[in-house]
Amino acid sequence: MPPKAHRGRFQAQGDGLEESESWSQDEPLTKSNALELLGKLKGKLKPADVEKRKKSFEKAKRMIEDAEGGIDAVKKRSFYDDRKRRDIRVDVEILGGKAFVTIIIIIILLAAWKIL
Amino acid sequence: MENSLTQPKYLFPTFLADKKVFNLAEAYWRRMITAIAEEAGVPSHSYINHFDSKGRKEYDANPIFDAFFPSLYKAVRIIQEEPEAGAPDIAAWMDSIDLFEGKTPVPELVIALALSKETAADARELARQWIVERHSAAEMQQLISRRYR
Repeated sequence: MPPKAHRGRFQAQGDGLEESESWSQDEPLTKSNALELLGKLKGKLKPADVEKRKKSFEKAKRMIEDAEGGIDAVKKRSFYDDRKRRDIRVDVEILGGKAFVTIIIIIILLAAWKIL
Repeated sequence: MENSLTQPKYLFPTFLADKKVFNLAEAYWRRMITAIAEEAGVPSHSYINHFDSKGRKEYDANPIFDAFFPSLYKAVRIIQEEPEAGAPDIAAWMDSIDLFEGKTPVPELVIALALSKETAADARELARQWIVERHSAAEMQQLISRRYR
């Protein structure tokens, strides 16, 4: 299968946990799909594990919501609630292409691609 | 006369508030990691995009500096933070990043710290063990566990 242009991953790890949600697709990941994936990752965790990463998930959510015009790869940010336990964290990785765009940006990108 | 009490402990303390100070801190890391790469005799380059979609540089320091060493297939990512009372000034962990689709993820040494002379020396030593001494990710994890837990 040909490689996809846009890919990345949300990962929750530490304290015996390692769960992730990835994307790999032809179009940039939209903000709404990113928030959905982040929610899906949260849903995989036990409530206690979510609680330990409450601020980390909030920071990851803010990173998605605040992205103006999307974020270009490669980007990796590590978020943790407590600096005494930096191992308990949520990582956001944009590994290829672009992510956290709005639908309008996708339409503009597709239009530009067709013109070219 | 300055002594240990009057000398500020942390380096570049206003790095998050002042872009010029941030750039100085970033240059500090570049010098340190470049010197380590030269000691190891290997090339390195950045693998993280530090700009937003409009081409504006980001000043969040997460990470403040990063380097990929192609010939070693290893990476280093430095996260610089403001000091926080009660929290250790430095932590490190081994991670990996899927930089090349379909290939083995690149092992990453991640160091998160409030920058002082002491934590800088610790970070330098960790990076040296990883890049110059060429320890494996498993060996680095053991070293980190012994030192920071």
